[in-house]
Amino acid sequence: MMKNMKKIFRISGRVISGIVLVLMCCLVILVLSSRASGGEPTIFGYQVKVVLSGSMEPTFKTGSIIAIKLGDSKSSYHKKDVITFKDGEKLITHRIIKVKVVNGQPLYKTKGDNNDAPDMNMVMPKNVVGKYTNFTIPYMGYVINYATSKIGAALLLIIPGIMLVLSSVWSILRTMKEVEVKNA
Amino acid sequence: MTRINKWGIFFCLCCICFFLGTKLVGKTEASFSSQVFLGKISMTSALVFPATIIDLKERAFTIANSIDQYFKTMKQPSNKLGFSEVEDRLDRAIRIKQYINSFFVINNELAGYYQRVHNDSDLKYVVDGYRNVNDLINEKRITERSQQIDEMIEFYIEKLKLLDQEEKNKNSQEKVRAEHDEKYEKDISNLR
Repeated sequence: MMKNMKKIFRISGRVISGIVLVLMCCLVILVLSSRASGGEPTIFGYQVKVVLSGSMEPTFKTGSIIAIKLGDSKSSYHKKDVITFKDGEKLITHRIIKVKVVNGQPLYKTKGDNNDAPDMNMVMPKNVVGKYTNFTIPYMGYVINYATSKIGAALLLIIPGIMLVLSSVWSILRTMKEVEVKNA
Repeated sequence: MTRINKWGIFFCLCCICFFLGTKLVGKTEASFSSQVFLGKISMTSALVFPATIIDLKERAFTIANSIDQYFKTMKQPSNKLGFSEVEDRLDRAIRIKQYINSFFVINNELAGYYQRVHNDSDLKYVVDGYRNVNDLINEKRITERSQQIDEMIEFYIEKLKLLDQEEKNKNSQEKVRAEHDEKYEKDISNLR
């Protein structure tokens, strides 16, 4: 019984390690490809964003992360949809309060749920990045923000990286020693 | 030792995965808007400001005093005046005529404001200003004096023409006489 349990633990441990390794490889590929293309990282048509300010509270809070389903030129949005759109260099996520059709083209009047007035400019469909999917994780943005800081990068990338390298070196040396002992 | 090593590797891999995961997260703002909708603002401004009326009134009083001063010291036109004296008086009369014209320009400007606001109790200063200046016309007899000045200017111009003609006649007579005398002298010398 104990032997079987150990076996199950060992197998599940290897499976999990394998999953983590595959996940890491996928992440590396995703990060590198998004960096190479110069665009925002996209995972199966979705983007994840950290919310930097609180005009959409209580729908989602400052410091939370939200998932956005990317739209295309054919996508249409309706009143009460929460959309992410480009406003100059910035990306804004606000709710549509009015859809106005001008020359057959819809224009969206937007407003933050927590704001007292709508945004000054109407949003053109070409500036809409996508629609909020109601998926949000509160406070995760703060963690991500810390992780991308210098200290965060050191703790999550450099130190584990060095430890992995050292571990590999130690494993190689140990294996070599074992081989030497066997040969002797 | 091996187990610790394995868990350590696993933990390191998780850390790296998490770090890579953070690189896939973008940023969005849900910025507060400080925008405020303005309602309709009705703004009214005075047709003319009190300072303008005061300025016009002061100018009218200064001009009216100058006109009055001139008429007090004015000498009656005379036929016995010389050319330069007539010229001098004509210059002064023309200057006063210009003052009178300026006075009426100011009066007309005030009358324009008065016609537009005389029912508006908020713009009483316009009504007062116009009435004050209008009173000056009677008080300083501006209209009457304007006519006098016109007559005077006309008189002095005629007088100047007359004096000029007299001067010319006098010059031509002297010239004829001089020629005559010269011819006479010549004839006498020929006879000798």
